[in-house]
Amino acid sequence: MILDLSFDEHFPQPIERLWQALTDPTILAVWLMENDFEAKVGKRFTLRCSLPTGGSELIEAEVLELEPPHRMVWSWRDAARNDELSRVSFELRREGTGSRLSLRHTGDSEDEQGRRLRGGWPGKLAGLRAALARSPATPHG
Amino acid sequence: MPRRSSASDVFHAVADSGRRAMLDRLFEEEASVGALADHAKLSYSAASQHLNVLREAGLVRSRARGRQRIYCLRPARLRLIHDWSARYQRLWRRSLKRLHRLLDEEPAR
Repeated sequence: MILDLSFDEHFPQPIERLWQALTDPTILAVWLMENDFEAKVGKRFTLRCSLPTGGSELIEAEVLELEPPHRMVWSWRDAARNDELSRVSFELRREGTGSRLSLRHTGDSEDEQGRRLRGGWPGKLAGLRAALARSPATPHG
Repeated sequence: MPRRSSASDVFHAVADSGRRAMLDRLFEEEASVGALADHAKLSYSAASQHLNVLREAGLVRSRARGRQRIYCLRPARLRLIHDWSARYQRLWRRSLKRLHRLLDEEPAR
């Protein structure tokens, strides 16, 4: 997999408040981006924000899965950069009086066969970083 | 001059497991078509076709060594993929920080 990010965060707030912060469009706009999100499977929505450099970020997304207050999955594509389709999943669980959020953002371009054949790409990104370090400013050619 | 390849060409190029296997091999060192075919468990002609896709995406280049073609990586193009990952890493880090701050400041309802 060429994109595989995961974040694991504890929140002192209960799972219901965390879920609300992830699914209320007004709250989403405060911590993530302006949006026309609705908590409804199949809802296509956009996330946008202006960048300090003048441009803007425009993400086209869709709600793929929704299981309040435990799980939500979005498809995600950066429309401006013509990126590959990727996938964002939010998993929530209770933890003491608080809650835990596991967020994963993964590239979707790997076929099943490829996944079986090989161990995935996070390790390869380390190889890539090493290759980039070996040749800092490779001219095109 | 080859046409200028786009980011989506690069993503398409690395979406195939055979081509990734060849790139993995090239991370280590340059290699002939035959060596790359062996490594990716592909026929010589399949490997050649995949190498064309990688070359058109600007990820590899080749040169002649005797009667062989030797391929090597062009890391500058692979940087696109690295940047893709790094950009979202930054986005989520910042956003999660804002989410924590927001929930901490908001009075409990």
